[in-house]
Amino acid sequence: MEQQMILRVKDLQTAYYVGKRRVNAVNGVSFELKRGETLGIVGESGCGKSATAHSILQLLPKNGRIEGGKVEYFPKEGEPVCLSECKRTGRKMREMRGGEISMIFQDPLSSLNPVYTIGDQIIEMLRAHEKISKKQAAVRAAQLLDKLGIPDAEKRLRDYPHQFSGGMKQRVMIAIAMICNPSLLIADEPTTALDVTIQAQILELMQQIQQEYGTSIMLITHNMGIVAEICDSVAVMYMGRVVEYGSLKQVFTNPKHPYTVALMQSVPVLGMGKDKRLVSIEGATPDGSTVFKGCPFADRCTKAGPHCFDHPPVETEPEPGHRVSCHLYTEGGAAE
Amino acid sequence: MLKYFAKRFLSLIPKILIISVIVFLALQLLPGDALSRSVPPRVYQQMTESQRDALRESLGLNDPLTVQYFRWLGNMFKGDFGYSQSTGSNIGEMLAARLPSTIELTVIALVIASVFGILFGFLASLKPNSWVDYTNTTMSIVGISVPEFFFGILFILLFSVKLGWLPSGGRMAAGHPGFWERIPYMILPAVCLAISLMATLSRYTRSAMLDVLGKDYVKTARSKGISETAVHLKHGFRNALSPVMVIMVMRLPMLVSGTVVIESVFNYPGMGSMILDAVSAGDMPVVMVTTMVIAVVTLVASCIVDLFTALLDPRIRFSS
Amino acid sequence: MEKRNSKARSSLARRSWQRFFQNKAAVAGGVVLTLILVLCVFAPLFTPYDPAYADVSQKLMPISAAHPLGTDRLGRDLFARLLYGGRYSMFIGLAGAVGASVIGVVLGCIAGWFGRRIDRALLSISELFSVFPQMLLILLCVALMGQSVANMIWVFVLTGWSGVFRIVRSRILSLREEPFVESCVANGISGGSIMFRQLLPNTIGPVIVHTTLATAGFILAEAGLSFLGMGVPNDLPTWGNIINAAKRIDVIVNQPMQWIAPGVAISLFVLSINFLGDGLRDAFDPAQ
Repeated sequence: MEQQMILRVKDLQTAYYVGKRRVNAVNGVSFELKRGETLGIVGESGCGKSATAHSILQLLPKNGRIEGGKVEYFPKEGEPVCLSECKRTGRKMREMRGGEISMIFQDPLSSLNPVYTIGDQIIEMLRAHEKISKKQAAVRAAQLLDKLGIPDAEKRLRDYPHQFSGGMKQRVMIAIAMICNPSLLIADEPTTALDVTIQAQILELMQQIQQEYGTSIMLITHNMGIVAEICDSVAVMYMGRVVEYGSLKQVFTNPKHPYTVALMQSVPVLGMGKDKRLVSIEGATPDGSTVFKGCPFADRCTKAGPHCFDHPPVETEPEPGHRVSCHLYTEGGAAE
Repeated sequence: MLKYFAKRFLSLIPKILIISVIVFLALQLLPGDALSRSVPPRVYQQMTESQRDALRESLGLNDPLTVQYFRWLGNMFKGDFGYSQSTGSNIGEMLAARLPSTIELTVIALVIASVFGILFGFLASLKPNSWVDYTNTTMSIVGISVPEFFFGILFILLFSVKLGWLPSGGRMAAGHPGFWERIPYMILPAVCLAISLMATLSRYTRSAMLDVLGKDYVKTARSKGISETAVHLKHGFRNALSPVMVIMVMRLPMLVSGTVVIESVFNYPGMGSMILDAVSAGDMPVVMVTTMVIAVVTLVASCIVDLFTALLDPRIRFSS
Repeated sequence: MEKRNSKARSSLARRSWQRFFQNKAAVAGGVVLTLILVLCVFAPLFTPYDPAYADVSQKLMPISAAHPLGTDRLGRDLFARLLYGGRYSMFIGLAGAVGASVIGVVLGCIAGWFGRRIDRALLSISELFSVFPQMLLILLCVALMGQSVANMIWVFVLTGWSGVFRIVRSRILSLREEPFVESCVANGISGGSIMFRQLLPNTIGPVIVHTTLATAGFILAEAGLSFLGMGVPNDLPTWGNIINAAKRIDVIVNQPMQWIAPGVAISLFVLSINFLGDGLRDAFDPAQ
């Protein structure tokens, strides 16, 4: 049976304005996410993965704007919602935020308001979307915290964020995100700011949530290892573009784009032979405001030919569901 | 929480003691007979030298300085501040007559400054770089640049002389001492006094709001789907208030400084005019004691505003 | 290396100046400030009158070609008094601010570098100064020392150093923890050299801005004190002394030029300093 789609992003374009300068953060990104699945979005910092995530819920800073493309959300019942056409702070958008789509952020330390108790902050979310008394809301919050592995949950509702450790804070963030039982959870680098041991716990927790509630997850990370562990499909981003997209198996066993290959070689994998060497990617990510005539990766690419510098690559589909933007796979492409 | 309050109040004591020691030593260094500052001048003049010696002995003016200091401190707690050199009146009684009117004026000015300053700053922060914001920024720079006495004179000319809306000076009409009857007399001086603090607070509120609105937890709040008003008030304003309160504490002494000038412009009978008269008359005991009393009142007031700040911010409450 | 460094620094400075020149209010402030400065410093070129010369036959003259702002109740030319008065006001304000900054920098360096007990002692003294209403402290000093230009400046220096002290102290305390200082120490560079070549230059920007703004503050304070009759002896024509005439209600109503002119002069001058100072701070110290 064909799985139901939950999110479709098509040709999304987002730009930031710094003074009179325009920085294209997202440059024609397309992907889909199926209900109950996990999509990983990988790339180096500054590649536009966070901007993509923020565009979906229109949580961009004031100087950021969606300039083109479409973000569509398909609820369980009823008509699809075009998120990119909603007003930034309009009623429809607000119903979506938290109610249907939740987000957790990179740094749990700064993502919780220091002057309110965590109980207040969880209940605020619940009461924004459901008609429920404060008392009942507190009971539900405590239940969820308990389930998410916070001991003594009922008492801790009255504590302030600074009384929690980093990992515990991220659990609280997950509780805020999950309290209204949304269909889609967007996690923007949820483990980057945490200790390695805690990272594993949080990832496990997210998988557990997915199994229990059937939540779809969009996971943004720069860590290929995490993607391999929990994602069903992957989008590799570079300079605001998706350079390779496919199922986990397709991308990991048969990486097509030289950038994906390089990313995978730069991460140590357990069981990797001692003779294998870690390879780093030459050069640095270019400045966001650079305009490219050809392929943006060309000057760091080991396989680039003269053609790559002059013509933008076109997306091809070497196997069903596996898309790649590279001249190596277009006819008359890179001359080797 | 209580621990923090206690600690904050206890920290006042050494500061107050240092100020009092300095004032005490300065008083000792003044030329003239110390006894003449301890008894009413008229009584002093009628006494013979042997009576004076006896009184000196019984008042303990020949005791070591430390003993005298603590007695002096104790006397002040009992309301005995010594006698004015120029008018011969009891300084304690002078304070009792003047201090409440200055406190009244300052508190009203503080309320005006914080309510309007914070309101304007908040409104400006909602639309940065809009005409509201630019107007607010320009007005605040004007507010801190124009001397308060100049505002005072302008207001007297406009609202008292030309329009006749409000009295040009004094504290009350003869025979009408009620609080509400005094209000018209306080409006102009309180507004003049408030302008500069109001300007400062509006600038700090604006920048604190902009700072807070860029924080991650505001993004979290938006991602919850609550209304933009709730984001601004509950998450923005509430967090921006603490740094603004800190500035308020820092500027409180400046507000008190302002009362000296403003009381003089409006002939308002408070501590400011009392101290000015004393300086003109070279009446050092009055100058020093009033200065000390005002400093102590300012310290206590700063402490109270500090406690409000702690109430607003759990991190301060728990850190100690 | 040295060369590249200085080049990078100069381009940073150029970008800061560009930012500054885009700020119209700041540039306007600079222009007005320069204008007032030129008028006051070269006062004899702009007015033929002696500000102290009283011609009783000419008292309270209205505005005319001979007297651009009229004369006061002793027949002195108001415009001349304003220009010469500006000299005194500016000198007092600037000297007070610079003196206070020098003390603040020296004590700030001492506190920031030695830390511990010295730091704590200096910090609590500065706190005591800053919680004390400055006007009272000044009045106390005036009562003890008497009224003169020199005393006025001394009073400002004595009561005004705590702001710069805290800026310098906190900068140096935080810079001292930076790795580059550690590497200087490891390379055997002496403490004094680190202090003066590495740390102090890092504090200079905010100190200059603070000094500028303090000048404005002291000019206001001088005006307030002279208005009260507690400032500079009243035979000297400072802006505050000129406006002192407006303490009587009949002067306020009947001779508005006597107080509007000096009031506007003070306001305009301080306003232009504040706009300029704000612009400089935004351009050179965006972190603040």
